[in-house]
Amino acid sequence: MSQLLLNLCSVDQVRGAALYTEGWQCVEHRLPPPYEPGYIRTVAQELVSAFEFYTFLESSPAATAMARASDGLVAMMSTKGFHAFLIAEPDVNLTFIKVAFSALEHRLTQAGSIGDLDQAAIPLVVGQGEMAPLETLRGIVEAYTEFAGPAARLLIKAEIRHLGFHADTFPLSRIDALIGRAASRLLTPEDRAAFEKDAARWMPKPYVNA
Amino acid sequence: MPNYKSTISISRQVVVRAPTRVERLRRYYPQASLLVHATDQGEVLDAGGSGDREGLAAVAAVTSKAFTRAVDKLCLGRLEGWALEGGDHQCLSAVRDDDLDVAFMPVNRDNVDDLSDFIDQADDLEGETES
Repeated sequence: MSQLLLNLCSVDQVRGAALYTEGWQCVEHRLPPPYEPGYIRTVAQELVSAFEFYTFLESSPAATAMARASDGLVAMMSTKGFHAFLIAEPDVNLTFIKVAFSALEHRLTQAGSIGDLDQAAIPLVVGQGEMAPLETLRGIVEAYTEFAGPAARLLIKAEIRHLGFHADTFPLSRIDALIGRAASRLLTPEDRAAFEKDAARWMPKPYVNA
Repeated sequence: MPNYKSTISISRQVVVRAPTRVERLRRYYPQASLLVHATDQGEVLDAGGSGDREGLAAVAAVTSKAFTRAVDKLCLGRLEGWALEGGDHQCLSAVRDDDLDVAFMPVNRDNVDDLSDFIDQADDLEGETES
């Protein structure tokens, strides 16, 4: 499960949020019952159609929308090919919501593409390019475990962080760097070569050395 | 020589008109390029500032209906107000039963909560007695 909405949903009085692609595929949701991502999608789609009228006022379409009601608040952000939808208590601090939306937008721009990582990867392209499916990272951890033992998972995680990413937001274009850094931690040149050879199958095609 | 001063009386009646709802809102939002008081059907009741007042009222009416539907579907109670933010500007609205206050103004880059302020200001105007 990706962690993109963790920050947004950690804001005090936020009930839940969902993130959709431009084509309305749910990337991640943190919605408590009775809210459900399919239902929220229909609500959000209707709102987005209405927001198109905003272009009568300004050339660019509405990017952020918020509505306060007596028993709750809804907020929406459309950016970088994604729609984020949030439901909160009416007294939620809107300044915090704005900051959290800005942080999410920044992360979407920085990170690369996001898929529903627990299912098959959805190859979306944003910022640094196609994102590495979680199964790729799992495969690398598995290959690394042969040489580094049970610490493999932690070491790969540390290297991902060192490269400035998170497991949910790791771009395919940096897989070779990840493998190289992980290999450099191994003690013998034989282990390094064997790991690199094994892990090469997880590299995206253009990065595999023939 | 007659004393004209005593025979001529000049009466001057000063009529003080109470400021309209839009004029009062304008005091709080001088940065707004356009302020409109409109019906929920998009009919302009009063406006201040420059720009397409009918266009703003129409957009506000459509947006209010859309948000009302969304809020109803999610059982969030009665819609009080909304904000739309585009590239450089934002549109704020305080919603009542049959009418809306709408402001079109530059985006506040400091992530300030303009929406709650706007709803509260419009509510305060409701409480004031027009003299």
